[in-house]
Amino acid sequence: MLVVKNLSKTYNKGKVAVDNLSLEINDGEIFGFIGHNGAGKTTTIKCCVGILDFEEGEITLDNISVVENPIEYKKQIAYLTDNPDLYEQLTGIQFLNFICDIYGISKDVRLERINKYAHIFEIDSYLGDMISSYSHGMKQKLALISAIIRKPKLLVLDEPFVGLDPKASFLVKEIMKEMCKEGSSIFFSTHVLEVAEKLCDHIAIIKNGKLVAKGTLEEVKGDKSLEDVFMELVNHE
Amino acid sequence: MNKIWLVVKTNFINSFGINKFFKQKTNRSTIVGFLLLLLSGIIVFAFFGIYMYVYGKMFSDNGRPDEVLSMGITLGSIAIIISAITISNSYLFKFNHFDLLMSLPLTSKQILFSRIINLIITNYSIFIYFYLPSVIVYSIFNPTSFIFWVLAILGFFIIPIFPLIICSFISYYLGFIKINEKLKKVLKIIVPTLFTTILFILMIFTNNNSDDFVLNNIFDKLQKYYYPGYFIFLGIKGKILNFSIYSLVSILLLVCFTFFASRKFLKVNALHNYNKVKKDYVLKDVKKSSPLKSLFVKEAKNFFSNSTYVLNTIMGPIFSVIIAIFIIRQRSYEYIKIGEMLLDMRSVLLLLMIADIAISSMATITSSSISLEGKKMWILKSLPVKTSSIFISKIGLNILIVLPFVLINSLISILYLKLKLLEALLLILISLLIVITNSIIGLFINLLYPKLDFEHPTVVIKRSMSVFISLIFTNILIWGLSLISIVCFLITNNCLLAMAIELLIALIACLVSMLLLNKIGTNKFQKIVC
Repeated sequence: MLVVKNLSKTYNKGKVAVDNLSLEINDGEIFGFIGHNGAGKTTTIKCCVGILDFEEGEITLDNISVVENPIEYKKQIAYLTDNPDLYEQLTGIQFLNFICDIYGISKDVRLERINKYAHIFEIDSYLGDMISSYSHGMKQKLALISAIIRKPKLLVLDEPFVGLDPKASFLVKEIMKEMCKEGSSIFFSTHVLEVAEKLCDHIAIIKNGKLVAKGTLEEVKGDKSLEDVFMELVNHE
Repeated sequence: MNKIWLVVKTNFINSFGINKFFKQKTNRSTIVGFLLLLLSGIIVFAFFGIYMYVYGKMFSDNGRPDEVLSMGITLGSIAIIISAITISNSYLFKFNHFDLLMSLPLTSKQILFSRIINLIITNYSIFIYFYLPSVIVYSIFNPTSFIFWVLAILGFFIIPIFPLIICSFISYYLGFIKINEKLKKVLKIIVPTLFTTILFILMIFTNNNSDDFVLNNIFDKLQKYYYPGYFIFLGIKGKILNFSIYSLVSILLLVCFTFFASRKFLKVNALHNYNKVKKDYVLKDVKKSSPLKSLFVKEAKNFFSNSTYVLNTIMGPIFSVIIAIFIIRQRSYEYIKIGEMLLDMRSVLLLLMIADIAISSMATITSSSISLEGKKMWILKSLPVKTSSIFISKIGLNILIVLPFVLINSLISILYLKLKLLEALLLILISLLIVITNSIIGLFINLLYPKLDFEHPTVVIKRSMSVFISLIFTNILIWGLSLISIVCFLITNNCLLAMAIELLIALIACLVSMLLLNKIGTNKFQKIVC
């Protein structure tokens, strides 16, 4: 279970990016994080995966703190940016192997998982090529595979559907559901409200660094559409 | 023309980070960094100035005082050729913002021309180190007129264009040759390395024999092999016709290249990507490694995939071996008299050898290794590995690259100076400590001054603040240690004692750098925003 308690993050010039934000993500849950550009989604996510420090608050995953025990914390998670810059001079398989080595995944398991997911995403025959030769979508798929093969307790995705073709998007959604059935939880940000509506168990809406709504989909939207609720909340001063 | 100016201006502001100085509030660390950068620039200029002065004096004593200018032009042009052969293709055809610029209402000619201007501006920063000192030294040993200074200033802007465009043409055609990518990378490293090494060997080994040999062989040959350098040298000296022809040819080449290469601008760019895809991979087996080994392999792959990075690092160690052989050749002298003291030449050579071995670690890989993570920093920062493991993998690669050269130099010293066991042990220990310390200093300074938002890796490797500042500190360490050991030897006439003191100081420096990296460096790494 991911617990974010009273998280606040201020950038150097005094700009408050995240202001006293709290949320919980239970095991087996898909949690959608919605907000306009610059609302603080990526900052929150980066704090949650331990790549950005913060002034106030607490972030724990199964009671392991991202500040006090970052290594153990990170062993449980996988993170994917919206525009993954990968090691362009490595081949696809070298990159996956690198990730597996870091996470200590055994030889047989990695072979099986890489084979499975590379085949599903149809990039198995490209794994021997340099990442620099990949298209944006292929890089996105490779980064996704590198996240999935870790079988993380928490998968954190920043705009995961950007750059994916419809088939790949469908596959990602299916894999997300499958991972949740196995006990993992997924925390992802998105601009696409339809995706959030179809996929998420819980959602949170962030505006100017503050949470303005959170709960189950039904709790947040009631009998309105998610788009209407979102527009009302972000336009309300 | 207006659009070209706009693109050139934007490129310039972006790649040189101009906004950091003028638009942002400057904090203390930026000011300190800027001052250190300025200081390093002055040190490098001073080094080239002294070098040029020594040759200027030698030329002057031999009745050819004007040759130093020819030397500056020729060496500057050679430096540009080496640089342009390796980087022009990526500067002109595979740059970061290709898609963005091509999507704008700009013609290929405008984009390419703006890139060429960017390439020329970048190369001025190399050329100035050779040209400016040679012009100043020329003016010391030769009478100069107002016309000379006008032509010399114009020459600075004109001279680099010719070699640069010729290399761009070569690079452009090489881009069409479908050779194995790995072979291409190896050639990009080996050819300039061999070229520069041979040049260095010629210069250093002929310098010691006779002045006539230097004058008649090396630079006469250089002038013969690179005649355009000699041609414009005569132009700057006052032959207006030479100057005009060189300028016209340069500008004509620039225009021709722009028109010619822009016709296949898209094709060349597409070829760079298309060549690499095989699509025939079959996953059969994988290797399992420890996280640290895996990080290290990743570092090594990144390092060897960038020819500029390799060249920048490898030349120092290669030069140190050549200098070692040069120093050892002096062994015929048994004693050297300094003031009233008669010193054992073998001991002097031994102390010089330590300084030489230390030179091999000067151009550190680590001083740009954090910056080169660039937008990929999110991968490292989100991995469940200790920051110390990341540091060890970066420092380890630096040590591993330099280590063979340290050992070769040590072996040369042991064999030719017939070192005793204790002397050999001290030599190796001091050398290793300096290599480790320099690697740590490079990494630490890069953590203080990271540049993750670079347009091209060459910018980080060749002219980032971190690289220049590291150079100052590694120089201070190496020459400070050498000075202390030599002063100690002059006072005590005891080489072993001098070496022991050097070892002690090197050990302290190493421990201090480790402490700094552990305390401040780790914190800085965690604070890097990616």
